[in-house]
Amino acid sequence: MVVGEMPDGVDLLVVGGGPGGYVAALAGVQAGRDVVLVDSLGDAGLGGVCVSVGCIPSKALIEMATMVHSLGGWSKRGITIDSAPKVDMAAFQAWKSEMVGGLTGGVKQLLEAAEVTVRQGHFRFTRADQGALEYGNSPPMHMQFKSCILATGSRPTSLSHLRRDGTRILDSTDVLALTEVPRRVAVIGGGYIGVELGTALLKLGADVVMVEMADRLLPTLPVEVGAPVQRRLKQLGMDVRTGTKVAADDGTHLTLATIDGEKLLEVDCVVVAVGRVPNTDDLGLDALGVKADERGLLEVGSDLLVTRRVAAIGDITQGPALAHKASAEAHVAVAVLCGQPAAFDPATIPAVVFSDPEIAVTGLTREEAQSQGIGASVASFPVAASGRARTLNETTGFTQLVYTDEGRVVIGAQLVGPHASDLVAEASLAIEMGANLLDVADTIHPHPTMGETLMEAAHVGLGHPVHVPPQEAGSR
Amino acid sequence: MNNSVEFKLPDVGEGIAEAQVIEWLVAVGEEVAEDQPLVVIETDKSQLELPAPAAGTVVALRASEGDIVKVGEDLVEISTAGLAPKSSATDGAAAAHRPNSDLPSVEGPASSEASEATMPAPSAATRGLRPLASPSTRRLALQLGVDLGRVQGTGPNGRILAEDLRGTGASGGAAAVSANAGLETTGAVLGADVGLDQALDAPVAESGSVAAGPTGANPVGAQTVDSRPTRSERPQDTTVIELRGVRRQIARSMTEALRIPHVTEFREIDATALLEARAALRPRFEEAELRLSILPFLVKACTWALARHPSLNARFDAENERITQHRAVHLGIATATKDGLIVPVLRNSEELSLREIASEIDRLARLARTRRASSEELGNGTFTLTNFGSYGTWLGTPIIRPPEVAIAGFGRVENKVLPVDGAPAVRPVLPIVAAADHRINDGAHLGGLVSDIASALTQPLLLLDSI
Repeated sequence: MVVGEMPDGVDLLVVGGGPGGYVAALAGVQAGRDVVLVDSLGDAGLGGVCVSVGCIPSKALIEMATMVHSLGGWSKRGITIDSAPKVDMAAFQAWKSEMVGGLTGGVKQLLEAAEVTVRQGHFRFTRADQGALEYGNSPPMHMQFKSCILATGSRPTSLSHLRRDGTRILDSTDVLALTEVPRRVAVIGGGYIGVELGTALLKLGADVVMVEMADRLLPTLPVEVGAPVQRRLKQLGMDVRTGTKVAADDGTHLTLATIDGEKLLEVDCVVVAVGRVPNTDDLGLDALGVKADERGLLEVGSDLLVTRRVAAIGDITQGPALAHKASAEAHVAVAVLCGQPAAFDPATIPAVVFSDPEIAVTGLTREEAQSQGIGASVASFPVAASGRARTLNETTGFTQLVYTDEGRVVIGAQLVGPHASDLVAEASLAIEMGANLLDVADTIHPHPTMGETLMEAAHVGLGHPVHVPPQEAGSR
Repeated sequence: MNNSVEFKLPDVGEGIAEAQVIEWLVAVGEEVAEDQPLVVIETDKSQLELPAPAAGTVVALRASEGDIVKVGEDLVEISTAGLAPKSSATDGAAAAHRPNSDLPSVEGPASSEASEATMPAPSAATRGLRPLASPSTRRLALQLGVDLGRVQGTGPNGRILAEDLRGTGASGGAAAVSANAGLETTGAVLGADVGLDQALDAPVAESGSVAAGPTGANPVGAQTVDSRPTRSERPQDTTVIELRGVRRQIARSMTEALRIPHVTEFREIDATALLEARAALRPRFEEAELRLSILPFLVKACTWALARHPSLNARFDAENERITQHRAVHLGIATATKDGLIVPVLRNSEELSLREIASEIDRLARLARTRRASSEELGNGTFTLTNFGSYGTWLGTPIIRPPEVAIAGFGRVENKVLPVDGAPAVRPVLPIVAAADHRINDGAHLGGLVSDIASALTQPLLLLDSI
């Protein structure tokens, strides 16, 4: 250390203000720690990608697109709209900014009330227990911490031949800030981000070509949940190109390559949604004696520690890069760093896709269970047999429970259909609680709701379905 | 993991099956030398430091302070590769090995063969599933240091309930717990600092009813309706202390003693000759820097009297209805320590001179107070002596320590008026009490012992006669 670098003492340093970091900061205060939270965006970074440029704004956009698109389908149900509804993206952006600002401000208020010190800057480790916070041209602030929680999150992956320019080549953040709907769009990447954004743009009136290297959309999800979405997108008029990648871009045309050869595609706008990279490359990990793996992830066990005093949570650790995982890990990391017995050991981390229809998965698929040596079966109930689904006029999808052959313990669920993103919480609770099919079947579900489909699926598994003929019920 | 040593809790002797981790002296990532003290553990009888079996780097601590660890269970992992303190990869892999951190392996958790044999196979594990337990129960298990893979759940479908964890950390393991479920419900063994609310509020009545599944062939559990949590006391109004270590052992031992029908007898003796004998010997002892109290005389007198009453120098096996009489006298001396009463045992007191007894008492008391007495120095007594006088009371009723069958207590020497040769005289008086297990000995037997103790103390010269 050079003279003049007298470090400030910090009890618990949290790096990153996203859903992992700010929850860790609040939990740290509750555990009696003095907490300093640093974020490269300062107050604006509170809530992280999730609140500013991720989950929240994308759901707002999807909601708007779904509403506009569904209006046309109401004529049979009694609403006729004389002229086409007018989409004002600028007004949407203004409203969205206000809504996001409210959420970010809410996080700020929570942190203020908890007396968490928030500082802006880029943090890098300089020693095992020290680091420097750099902001603009100010001299770096040195901090010596007792404990540290790294929650630096991730950013969109960029492609070398499709460098983001913010006007023609966009990443997910740019799409959420569009003030006009582009006419011809290519979405590169058919994962959940690509599907969500592509569907929204499609419903807002864009011509969308979706390019995916794998042979189907949503390749990381079970095939049975991805297929209805892919079918629906084709019905809606999306040009889905699977088994395809972008070989080149000349500024107006993309060169799409398949095993059958190359084709040119003229587009106005390219959305690159090919995954996210963990923000671990500029953290000074060497000073900790720690290396990220080839994907940029920090390897942690159930105690989430990377060193004795430093824990890592969220997108920079293995597992799905999801906000709720980061928040759950935050509580564990705080407990571990306070010397309490704690482990991140969930039975399931649910995942949802706000596609059309919605997808939600939790726990194991039957195939995953079988590969782990667990004898398992599935029981499926079609959404079309739900009264509530009929009233919503959305009858595509199913509710499927995976259960052990012995004891019929619920170990997984795959849901496709309206409100699947809400239904999955109940299925996750069943899995965490070790509930069996009878527990689910005997729990009275209110009628008419989509939640009933979980109860009905349990009845299917028990061999006495009520609202589908036994021979048609999907139990295998 | 290569080049790493998994250090298990060693057998520390005397049938001790488990120990509590009191303090870690090292941390993960720290380099340790061979034989460097790693951890302070407390068994029911003593506190001791365990040294590192090899030099290396501490990779993982398998137990937290306060955890109960069974003999043969992993305690600490030490990497002997001589690498710099490892972090992510090692920590991660190590953590994943923690018994309560991951899915139970089908092979079963690492454990000693003895405990393996006594553990019923958990049903979830045999199915390849993680143990069935709600998140709140899993958290409680983590906080209590209980490995769910070894707990037999009593809920529907073998689900582990909060109730099933009660006492697992504090007793002989899961098998004992399920067998004793009814006995372990006082709640005293549940940790206070580990979410008392949660522990006490957790629905524990689920195990009540089990309904048959619809097909009848595959029973599936149904919960009873009456599993609503009850509102517990607000934790800040009370202090709940985990019963651990010495206190727990005392509680168990005293509960066991409650089964003994005590017959008790009291005497007061003239201690003039005793005090004279002590006064005569004291300067000689002081030359050897030994302080001579009357305790060595009391030991000597009890030893001398027990030689004449073998039925009171014995151990009783109530279950097999068998008495073992001992020729040798192993005399326990009740010693108050800050953690509770500890009884170091003076071995073969019949072979020891007064001076040897005095120095041995000194040594044992010091070991007991610093909790350094070994298991050998704390067990297998044949008779116990307790000195009520040391804390000023006149006398008390001593409680026999099973499987022993008798105990003697001595009060405070005080001047009293006694009839001496028909006239009142002021004399130092020593109150004596003795209790015997009435199943084995009657009042007359006990009276004989007390008479001999009294004789030896009123006429210390008798102690010169070994017959």
